[in-house]
Amino acid sequence: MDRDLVERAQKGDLAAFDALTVSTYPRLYRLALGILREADQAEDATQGALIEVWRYLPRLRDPQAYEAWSYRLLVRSCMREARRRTRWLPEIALDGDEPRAPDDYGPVLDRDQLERGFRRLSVEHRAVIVMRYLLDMSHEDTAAALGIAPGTVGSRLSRAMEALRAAIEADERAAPALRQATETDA
Amino acid sequence: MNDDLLAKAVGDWLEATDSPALDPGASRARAVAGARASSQVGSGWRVDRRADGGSMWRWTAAAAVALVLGSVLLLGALVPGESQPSLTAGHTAFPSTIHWQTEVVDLRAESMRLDVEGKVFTTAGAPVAIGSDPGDATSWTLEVEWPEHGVGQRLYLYFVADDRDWWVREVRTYDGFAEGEWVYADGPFLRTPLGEVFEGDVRIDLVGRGRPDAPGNHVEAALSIDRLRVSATPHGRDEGAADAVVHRLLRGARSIRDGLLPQPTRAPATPEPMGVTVVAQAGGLTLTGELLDNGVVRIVDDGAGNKLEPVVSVALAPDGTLWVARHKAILALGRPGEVKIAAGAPQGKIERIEANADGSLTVYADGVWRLHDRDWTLLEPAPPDGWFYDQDEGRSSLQLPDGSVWRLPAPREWIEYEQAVGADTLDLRSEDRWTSFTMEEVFPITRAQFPDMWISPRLVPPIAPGGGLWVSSQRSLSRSDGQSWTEVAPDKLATLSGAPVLVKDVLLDAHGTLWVLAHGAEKGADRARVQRLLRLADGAWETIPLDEGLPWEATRKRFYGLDPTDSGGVILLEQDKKADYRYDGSGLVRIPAPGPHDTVTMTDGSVFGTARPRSLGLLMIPAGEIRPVDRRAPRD
Repeated sequence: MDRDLVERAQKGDLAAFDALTVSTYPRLYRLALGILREADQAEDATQGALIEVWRYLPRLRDPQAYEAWSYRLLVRSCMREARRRTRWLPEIALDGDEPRAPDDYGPVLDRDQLERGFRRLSVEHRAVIVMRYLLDMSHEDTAAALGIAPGTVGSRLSRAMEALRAAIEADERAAPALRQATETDA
Repeated sequence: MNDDLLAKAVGDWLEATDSPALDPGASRARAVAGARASSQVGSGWRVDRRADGGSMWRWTAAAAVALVLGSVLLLGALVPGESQPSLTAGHTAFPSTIHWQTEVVDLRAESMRLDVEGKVFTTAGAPVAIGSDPGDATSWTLEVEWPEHGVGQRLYLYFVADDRDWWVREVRTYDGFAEGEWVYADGPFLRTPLGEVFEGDVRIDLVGRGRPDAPGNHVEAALSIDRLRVSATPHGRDEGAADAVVHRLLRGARSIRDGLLPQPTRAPATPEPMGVTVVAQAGGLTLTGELLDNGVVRIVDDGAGNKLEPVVSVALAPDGTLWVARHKAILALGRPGEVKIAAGAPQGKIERIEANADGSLTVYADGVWRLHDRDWTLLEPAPPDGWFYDQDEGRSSLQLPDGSVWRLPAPREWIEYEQAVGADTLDLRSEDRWTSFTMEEVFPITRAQFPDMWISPRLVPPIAPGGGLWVSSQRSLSRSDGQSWTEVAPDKLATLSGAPVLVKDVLLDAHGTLWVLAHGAEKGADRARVQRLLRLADGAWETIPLDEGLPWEATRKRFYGLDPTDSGGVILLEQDKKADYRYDGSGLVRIPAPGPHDTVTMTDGSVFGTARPRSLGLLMIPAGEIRPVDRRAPRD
């Protein structure tokens, strides 16, 4: 991240903030989409985070920390977005909706399970999984982005994966008939 | 599956579902309405609608900048002296008395004691991180974190407000262990009139699931605060409150108020070739919608790309005023340049508004409200037919014409899987008696899908003519007469392979025909017909193949929803929003939704979009330009 750009934006340089936002939006959106799983929500969360960025940028003490700091704002924004979600919105984008070839049906079913399990995680758990396994962020960067100690990242990730595993296993236990039918068919 | 395999599977899955080329613009085909090369809206926002895909992305980001700048700059200008937001937590050494201050909360107390799992937390001597999610005028937080007993402890207070009071909706803390588990207490606590300070001693009991090895999987905590004094200043409630709320929530309002929007370039409203009505157009931006029989304009799209606060409902009043509702506020657009604001009473999102003959509005939000001359009245106890939010129960409900009420599982945030499963019942109230149906009773095939209901419900219960209820989940369809459940047409929903079918949407039209949109997961030769539209009319099912004769690769259609048409057909909403399709009994008619590269030119040379089911943004809509217009036949 261009430190000079951040510093100029901190001082109210609109052009600098414009450039900063243009360069920031993709990675924030990517993280938001990874966490929230729905494009519309991710867009709203990203814009919410950018508003926070603008408002609080002057108070960012270390411009070098901008990236991690903006991630942190985004995760908060995702939490807000998740909280205010209404229950009857149409579900739109699920990878499992696409047709599949015979030989890849099984893995796709696993993706469905992953999707369902992932959606049951807290936003905090989702965030750490996405940061580590999608964005390939280091422990240190993840810690900075989440505002936690580096040593905590591993344990939080472990808990998140445990929760994911539990959700998937519970799903499997609850659907033996469905599972059996699928396996027999395959 | 071991840890490494699970991690790899998660990584692969996340990558497979990653945002395409980091380009949200690519996944949300943008409607171009009245696309006239370029528009400039607000400082630093220059929109080139002829842009290519790469530039489109930049447009998206630039629009985001404009939204941010537009709302924040104005807010800043309207709230002089705003000086201490604290999302980035500050640290302060903690003396014997408590003073936690953020921009939205000022909390003082003589002492605080938190008892949990045999440990006592007081914050004494610890560096305390104090922060607030400033939220908005109706929701904000105070978040306090500190180390004690060798662990990180937290105390989070979730504030809410209506137009009269503020209070604490929920209190959370950790269970006293490293990597703490949350312990909760549901309010309301500290209810206090807006602008006033809460004072008193507080005792709050908290409960949580605790750790897996906790006895009974249960943990309790007690929070005691002596001589507590809390003042809460949600955004918009301080000086300049009205303007701050309005301008922060309503992007377009600034331009309207300041007269910055260009004057209308096109009038009057014009029928658009896709069966939608152009409601108004100004400065290269167009609002399109359908004028329904009851006078409600269903907004289809405005082409403005305003994602900050979407328009959720529009109603045309008999006097020509156009009411525009966002989730948290309502505008009335009368003469050009005039905008009246009504914001406040409902705590939840506004979902729909209807204009009444007496000039009032009926507002569907957390309950059903009447808005008249800026006065809000909660209409109780009888919500109209249809969805409403039950404030007492805190869940979504559906009232049928016979007066019975169906209640969905209690809404849960993404908290715990077990809690969600535990909440999976569907309740029926009839003549003051509640009957609970478990999901096993409702859907006999499997209950595996029901944890999804509370997350992304495929529970779409249209009301059957006989008063029963059609309910769909992702994989099945059932009908109830109020006493028992019948699984319906499994043969129609099953695929050749027996693999599960995703029921995407169910619609009961005005003629009593039930439409079911289903996605299959079929294999092999029948692969092209993976989507089905089922129709139940006069007791007989009919399957309408949606992709017959077309290979999937050629069509790439992914339907996700159904909308009724006045003619008794349905409109199928397409996943990628490139087009919708109308089925009227003789086949699918494509309703193109031109993106930036595919506009539709009218005979007079003007350029229009679009038909997308999203409703976004806000424009100046002079009442004089609002005309009900006969629809013309769709053009290929």
